[in-house]
Amino acid sequence: MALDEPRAVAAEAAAACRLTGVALSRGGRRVLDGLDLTVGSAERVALIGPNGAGKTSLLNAVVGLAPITAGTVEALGRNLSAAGARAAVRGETGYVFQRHALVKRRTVLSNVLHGLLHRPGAWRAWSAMLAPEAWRAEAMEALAEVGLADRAADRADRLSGGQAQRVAIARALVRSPRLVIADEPTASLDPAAGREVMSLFSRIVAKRGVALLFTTHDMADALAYADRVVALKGGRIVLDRRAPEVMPGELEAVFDG
Amino acid sequence: MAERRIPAPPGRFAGLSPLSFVLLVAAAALVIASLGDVSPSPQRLAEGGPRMARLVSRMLPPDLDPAFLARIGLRIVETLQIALIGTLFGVILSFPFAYASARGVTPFGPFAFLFKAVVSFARTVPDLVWALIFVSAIGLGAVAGTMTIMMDTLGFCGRFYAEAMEDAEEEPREALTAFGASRFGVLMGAVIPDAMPSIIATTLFALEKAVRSSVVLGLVGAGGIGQELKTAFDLFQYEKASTIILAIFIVVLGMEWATDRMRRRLR
Ligand SMILES: Nc1ncnc2c1ncn2[C@@H]1O[C@H](COP(=O)(O)OP(=O)(O)OP(=O)(O)O)[C@@H](O)[C@H]1O
Ligand SMILES: [Mg+2]
Repeated sequence: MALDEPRAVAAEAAAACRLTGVALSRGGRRVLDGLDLTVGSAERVALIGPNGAGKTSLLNAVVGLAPITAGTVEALGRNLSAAGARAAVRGETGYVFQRHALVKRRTVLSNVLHGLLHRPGAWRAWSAMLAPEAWRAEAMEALAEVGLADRAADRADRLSGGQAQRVAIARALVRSPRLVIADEPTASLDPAAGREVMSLFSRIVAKRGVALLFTTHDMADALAYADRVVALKGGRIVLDRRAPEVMPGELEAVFDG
Repeated sequence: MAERRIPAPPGRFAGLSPLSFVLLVAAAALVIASLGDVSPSPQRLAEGGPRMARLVSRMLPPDLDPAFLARIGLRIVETLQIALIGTLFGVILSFPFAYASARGVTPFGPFAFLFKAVVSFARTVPDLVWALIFVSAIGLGAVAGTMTIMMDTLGFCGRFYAEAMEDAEEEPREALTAFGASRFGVLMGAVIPDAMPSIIATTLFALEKAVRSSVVLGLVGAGGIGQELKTAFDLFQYEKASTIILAIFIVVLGMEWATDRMRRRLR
């Protein structure tokens, strides 16, 4: 669009991700429908909306896991359709999935090391057995950050849901990402564990000054841990507000009708 | 309140298409026709009974001559070696084929079926036919037997390793992909660890199967104890034959016991 305009380029570089007119179809159904969204470089954005609104699809589109049919996706200063951009963007993004998505039969440490699979010489991140000392130290540091350094040698399927989700966060953070994407990171946790994980998560993200784009079905979480709340419905954005400016009941209204 | 109308349940035979009905009837007809052609008639059974008894009486007592037992012992060792080395080579060969042919794992996209076809071919050709081929190609002896077991194992492990890889949990695979891991990185980081118990169980079954088939390979000259068995029958040395059959029985049973124990350990 405004590629020859210097100020627009500068703004693009400053944004963690920018979607312009993005459309996306899944199984013949239109899931995202001409959507515009920009996330600032140190901004925390909560994405809400009813089931099937397209939240997960949007997150996947940012790292090129879901192919878009129209529009452009730019992430971390790169157009995702450019050659090699997808790998570069994935390399600087940390992804936390709804259900931890850990490899159950591997140790906690091995799982965190999987966060380094984008590096050159990636085979050393296959498992803790192969990893060089420096990588193992990085992984331990990330584990300590989520308070689980003492569980490094345990198998991942020995953890509780909350602990597993914290390991998944460590796996995303060990990558030193500039953008963190999280898909309902607390959906499988009880309310107390969910709050604990979410506050730890947003604290680390804020401390590191990286961008966070997360989805949630908990309106209190959205307001407490995000700078901005974006509501999605039927593949379109129906509300986009700074968190402090959200009116009572406004978010709940998104789910009516 | 709006009235609720519950639709009728789907018909009892809705799942059975006319084509499958026809096929079912045809299969039943085939079974009934074959029954008359190849199953033993009562009088054949009546005649066969006494003859079988005579054969068994000539087999007793088993030949327990020490020199003969020593030779059988060596042949048994050779049989186990064929099974073990053949399985080892087959397993080594199976991994790349499984990787290349597993849906959602293969880097070859639509060409994955080529690798699947090779594995199917290795499986559908019976082991005795492989043995005949290798005996003709590389001569009589244990090497032909090892090659046979290798092809047999490729057919078996290549298929079930691929299935284990396809069944590996989807979520960790997607996670590692999102992290920028290569296809091979996803395989080694997420797919293999998840598939490992199934892969080990398959390998143990393959070993058990290999011992059973290496026993008969000697019948066509591909080494092992089967060769002795054929000679004994050819020369009407039934006491020797019964010793060999007993030895085979012990070896196969021992193998099944050992692999069973290992499989139980796995859980
Ligand atoms: N792999 C797929 N194949 C076909 N359709 C899909 C696929 N993934 C998602 N969809 C469809 O796309 C639509 C949006 O799904 P998406 O997962 O993005 O919604 P969501 O907002 O994340 O929902 P939820 O709150 O339930 O997680 C849904 O209608 C869903 O059925
Ligand atoms: Mg979702």
